[in-house]
Amino acid sequence: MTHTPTLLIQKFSNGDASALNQLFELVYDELHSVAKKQRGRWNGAETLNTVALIHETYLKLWQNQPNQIENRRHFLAIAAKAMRQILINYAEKRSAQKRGGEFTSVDADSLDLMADDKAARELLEMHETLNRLEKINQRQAQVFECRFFGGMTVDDTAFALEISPATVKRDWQSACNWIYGELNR
Amino acid sequence: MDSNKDQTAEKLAERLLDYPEPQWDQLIEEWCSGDDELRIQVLNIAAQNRNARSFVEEFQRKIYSLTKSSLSSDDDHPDQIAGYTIIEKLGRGGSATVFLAENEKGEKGALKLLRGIGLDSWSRHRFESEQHILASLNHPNIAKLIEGGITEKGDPYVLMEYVDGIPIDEWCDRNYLGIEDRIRLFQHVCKAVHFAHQNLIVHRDLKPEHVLVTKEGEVKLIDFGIAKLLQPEHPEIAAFHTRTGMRIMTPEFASPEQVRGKQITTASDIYSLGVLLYLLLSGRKPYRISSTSMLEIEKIVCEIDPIRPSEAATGGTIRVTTDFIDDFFDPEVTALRRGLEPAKLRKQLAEDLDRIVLMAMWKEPHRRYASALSLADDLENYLNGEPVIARAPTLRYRVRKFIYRNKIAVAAASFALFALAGGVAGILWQSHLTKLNAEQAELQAQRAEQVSLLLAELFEESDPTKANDGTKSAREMLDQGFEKVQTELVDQPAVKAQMLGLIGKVYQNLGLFDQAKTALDMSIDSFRKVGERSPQYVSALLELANIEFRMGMLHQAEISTREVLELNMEFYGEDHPEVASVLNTLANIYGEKGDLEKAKSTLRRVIEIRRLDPEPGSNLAANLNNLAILMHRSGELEGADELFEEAITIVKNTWGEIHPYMAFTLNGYSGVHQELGNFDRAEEKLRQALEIGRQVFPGEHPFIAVVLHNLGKLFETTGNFTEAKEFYEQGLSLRRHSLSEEHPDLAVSLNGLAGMLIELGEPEEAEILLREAIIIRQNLFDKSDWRIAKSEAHLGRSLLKQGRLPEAELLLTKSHQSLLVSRGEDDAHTLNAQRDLMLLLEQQARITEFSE
Repeated sequence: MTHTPTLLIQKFSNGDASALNQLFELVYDELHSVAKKQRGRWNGAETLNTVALIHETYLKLWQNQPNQIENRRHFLAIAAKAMRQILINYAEKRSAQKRGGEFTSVDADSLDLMADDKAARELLEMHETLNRLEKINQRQAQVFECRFFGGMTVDDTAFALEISPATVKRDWQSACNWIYGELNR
Repeated sequence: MDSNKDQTAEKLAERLLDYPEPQWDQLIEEWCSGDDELRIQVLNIAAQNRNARSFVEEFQRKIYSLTKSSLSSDDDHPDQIAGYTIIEKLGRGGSATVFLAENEKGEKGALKLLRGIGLDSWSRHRFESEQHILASLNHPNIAKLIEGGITEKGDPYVLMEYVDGIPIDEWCDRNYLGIEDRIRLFQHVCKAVHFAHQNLIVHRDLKPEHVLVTKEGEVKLIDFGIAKLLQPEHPEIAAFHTRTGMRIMTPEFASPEQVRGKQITTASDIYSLGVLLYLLLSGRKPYRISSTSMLEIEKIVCEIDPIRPSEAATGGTIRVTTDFIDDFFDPEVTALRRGLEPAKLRKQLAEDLDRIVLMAMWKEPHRRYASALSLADDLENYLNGEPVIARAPTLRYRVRKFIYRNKIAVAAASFALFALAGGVAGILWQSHLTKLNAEQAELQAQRAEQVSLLLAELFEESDPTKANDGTKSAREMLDQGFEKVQTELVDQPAVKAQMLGLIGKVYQNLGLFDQAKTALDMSIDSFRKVGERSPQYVSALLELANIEFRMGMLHQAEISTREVLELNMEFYGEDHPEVASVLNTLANIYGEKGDLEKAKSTLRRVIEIRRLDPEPGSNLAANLNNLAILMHRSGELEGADELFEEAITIVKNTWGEIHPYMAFTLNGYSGVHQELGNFDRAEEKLRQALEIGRQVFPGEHPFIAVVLHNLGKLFETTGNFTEAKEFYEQGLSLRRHSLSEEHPDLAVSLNGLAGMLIELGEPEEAEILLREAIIIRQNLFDKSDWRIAKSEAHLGRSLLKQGRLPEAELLLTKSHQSLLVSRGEDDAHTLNAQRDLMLLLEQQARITEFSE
């Protein structure tokens, strides 16, 4: 990679919008590779520790880089977005693979393998719902993204979005209410 | 806290958010002490907030389990492949990452690494054989496939010639190419596509990003046939189920048949070429699609006619999906980029070019240009000022008229046509598998084209305005074609055989099995006469076997399948997955025939073949499961137990605990334990199956009802009738919801629940259910079928319990007799009926005694 993350953030701060995309790509890729290494530690039903994952990704990307507050701030928001994208890409792939087929007790061959399908479908629905929220109230949607996809704490979210923790709490609750209402209509 | 008293409940609820949730209740008490109304209001809002939070948190947990699988695919790549060193990442597509690579000679390649495709043995084989075919595609305008294969990690990859170019539309615009130059450039594209089609390769994903122009101004098509490699397909499903296509990534260039997930053919590429030409000429795409809703995409691509390119170029309104904000379009700039003014551009595109583009973009594949070459030729006609063949408006009008007059018939007819087109494509693709040499392949392709032309003709001549008043149905059209083929193709037996095979398939798609069988029999006969044992012959045979199986002609189905098997063994060798898949079909036939021994030994052979595969995956687990079920049925409980355990281990290692296959195998496994008398274990396994089933299937999935019913059955066996009734009831209500009123499984549930109602002293309720079950079974089964007798015996018992002795006597005598014949005297159902009959006689005797 020719661009360091710090440089990209500087470029972005200086008004170069494409730097943000490059940074996103960088974080996205790095999340993947860090997650792959962590994967060896997962087993059974244990779920992924997103916070640890994001932290490790951060350390990796900013190795030997000055640990400026701005770096971390931008990084966190982008990491949540990247996590979301990783999940959505996967869910889309899953639901595209889905096939029909009815159960018969004799011929299991005709059955599709769709362990994650239900969750994938629901996630895509949630993704679309969140897209709608983004149009209505962008900040609420961002808070939700950080908390839900990034697994970030209230304080991390407040730091990343440069708002007060109290606002994060209120936005989080409002976004939850909205999502809950939309998905259970 | 008095100061809070006048605050609204909402404000208070909002304040709660600053505190941890466990403290909420206590805080509400403090803040609202003495004001019950306010307290209740706040409690309500807080409860809603809690609900929403816990819903989201629960959701988050579920999603994180997904994260694991999603992150398992990654971008790490081998340093070297096929003598090429990987230099840098170029980009990422849906499920592929592209890298730039270079060999020692400094030749550049684009390496496409496909991730998370999960190749099973069969797909792996197909991938290898197809990349082989793609590699043989040698044309100056097509980027060459250097090599394809599987990395050490098991990810499939393709290494292609690296093309340093830009998308054709951009190139034309940057160079201010006039209309005629654009057409000339586009003709090169057509010719390259045609070349590939002649080599039986369909691109499947033609769009500007795949049609590049180099610095030298040379057209290069990339990713030829790669889309096909990305599509996993299961042989076991293909054998007896219709195939489903993939959903495509670029809906704006996808043909209606692609969007619908139907067979993709050379005609699909012609459609995409049409869209590309539309874009090059008018500067716009015929539709703008960004909706994530497949339904909306399908509606637009399949139903809405695009406006003419000449209109589009001058600012006409393009159809867009609801969520799409159309790009700013400037007719002046567009015209300028073509060296014209808007009015002149419109004039140049109007008439001929409009027609050519729209002809390539017909919704119905057979109405498009027959080949990419004829599209190029028609453009040549235009350039030379000669009349273009795309001038045929009357046909369109005729079809329109026909549609309005007879909507349903047309729907069926176009369905039939899709199927026919699919048949032709099938030929194209199947030829691959036999690795025909180029000459033979071309012959096949020519014949395929001849067949598709004949088919088009056949349907056009059944035009309603000519032949009748428009009431002609797809069925009649097909009948007519069937007759014509028989009388008119006498001197071309090979073509005739193929046509008959296709017609047979259409009949089958329409559900007309008798006609389908007749046509296929004739087709096979014809093939045999010319001594042809081509893939088309095998395909017709397999289709015939399918129909015979569905018609219950199991013996014939067996014969046909066996022949397919032999031919496949010859083509592929004995231990090939393809052979295993046909053997599996054969095992199904044996199973249906009741020949459990043969079914079992056949499946054992299937399993043997699968075990040769280093990564047998899903197929092996499924085969083991199926064999275990058969062994269970024939009473080999211990053997079945072992197989189930192996299947469970495989599923667990491959996909983990939460997986449909886990649910299936646990369900079957529990059946064995029930029979062995291990009721606790059986219950445990069934409850696991239920829990997994509920996680992986939608709530109304038939499988859930199966497990619920099995739980009912288990409790019935252990004498826990109340519990059994509960589960039977749940199973029944699910089935009432998801199955048709005549479904046999519904009768099974009705019968089970009724049995429990009788035991629990509610024979009147049971009677209603049983009468429903009997009607269902009478409609489905032969009069003497034991299942009818079983329901009737139950009904007899319920009447007996109600004291309606004469009616009960009639039913019990009849059903007992029937069960004696069909099930034998030792069968549990027969014995039950006999027991009830004795009870009845006793009661009658008592009554007689009493009255005397």
